[in-house]
Amino acid sequence: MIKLREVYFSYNKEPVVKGVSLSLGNECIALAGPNGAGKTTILKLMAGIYRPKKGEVFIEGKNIWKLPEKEAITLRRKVVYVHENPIVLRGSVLNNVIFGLELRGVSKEEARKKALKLMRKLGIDELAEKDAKNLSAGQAQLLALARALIVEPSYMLLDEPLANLDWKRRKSVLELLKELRETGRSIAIATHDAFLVSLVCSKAYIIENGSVVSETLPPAIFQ
Amino acid sequence: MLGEVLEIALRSIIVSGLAAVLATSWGIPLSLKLVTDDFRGKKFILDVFRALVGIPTVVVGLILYFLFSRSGPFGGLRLLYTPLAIALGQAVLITPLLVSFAYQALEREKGEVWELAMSLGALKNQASSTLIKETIPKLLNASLIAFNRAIGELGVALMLGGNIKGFTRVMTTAIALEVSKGEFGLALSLGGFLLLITYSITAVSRMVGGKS
Repeated sequence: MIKLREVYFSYNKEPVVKGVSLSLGNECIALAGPNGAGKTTILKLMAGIYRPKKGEVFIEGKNIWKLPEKEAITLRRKVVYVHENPIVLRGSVLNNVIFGLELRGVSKEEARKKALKLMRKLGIDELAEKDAKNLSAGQAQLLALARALIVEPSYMLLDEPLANLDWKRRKSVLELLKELRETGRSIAIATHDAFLVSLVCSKAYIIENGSVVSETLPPAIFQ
Repeated sequence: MLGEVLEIALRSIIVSGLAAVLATSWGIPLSLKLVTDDFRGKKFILDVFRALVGIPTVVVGLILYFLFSRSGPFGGLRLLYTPLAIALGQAVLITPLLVSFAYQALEREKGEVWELAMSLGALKNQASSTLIKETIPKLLNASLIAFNRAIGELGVALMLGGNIKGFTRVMTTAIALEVSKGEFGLALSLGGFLLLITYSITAVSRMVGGKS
């Protein structure tokens, strides 16, 4: 379980997350709310990318900011955050996909094999040797998903995962998300997409102005 | 005359090249530290470096002259009036410029590359090396710009090198000497050569920067 307890965060002086408490167990939760409400920042706090100015972040019961880096990394590596606007590194698509495995010390050969198998499943294996900087937005989104999935995280934090995708790819990503849920993966999604939330998520947090204003069931979320 | 010009040009390239390598070797890690760590006084340090970008070369030369002179703290190293002294002086001179450019390049990439690495479970040093790897063309560009500044300066080379013929004479000190002697032909040849080198470096840095 990932848990935020009374978390505050600010980039400069003005706080953008104000006393947020929420948890992600073996479920799919949605963070919904208007642009600039703080959804992305909350996901990054959950992933341990940002250190809260105040409050605590627990991953599987341990406060990750109070652990030595080597202990915290074991927990952080169970969590993967996928950006809304995918970030691509220089090099081929394949090299991008295996990046997370390289960080974990997996051999290049083993990583490539695993990556190609996953890329086939996502329908992007033909892009393997293409320069990642030349991908379309939709292709880059799938690359980002593949890069996250390859490390087999227990927790996936997705920022607008269907943005930039055409209807055909939206459908396959939706199926993938459902499949991930069936295999017990915990998922948090920041989105505006009511359809996505109602199909995959069991709980929704409504975020406004950096705070959780309500917790609701997906069918009621956009009423 | 051509032989002498080439010899002086080659020495200038070697000395300023060494200065750029030295400044890069400590400037890049320092910039990385400034980008990736939050600590008290960080903004102050950055402001100091930015202010020192325009420091007069003779001031750097004068300070280092006192440090390297026989009675100075590093006098025992007998560096004064050697090419190494010029390289060290130029390295000190160009460090603020290099740090400013490198910091800017790393800071711009940090928001994306660093976060991506962290989001995929990188250790801090893994995220740092990824950031460096992704910024290499821009960092190389910063080093080339710093080299240009080094090869074109006069104050440090004159005060720490002493313009000794065949030993510490570099292009800028040779130009100054030839002008004072009224030998404008050699001075112009050297000046032309210096411009050619700096222009070539600028073109290379534009190409390298463009790739990033």
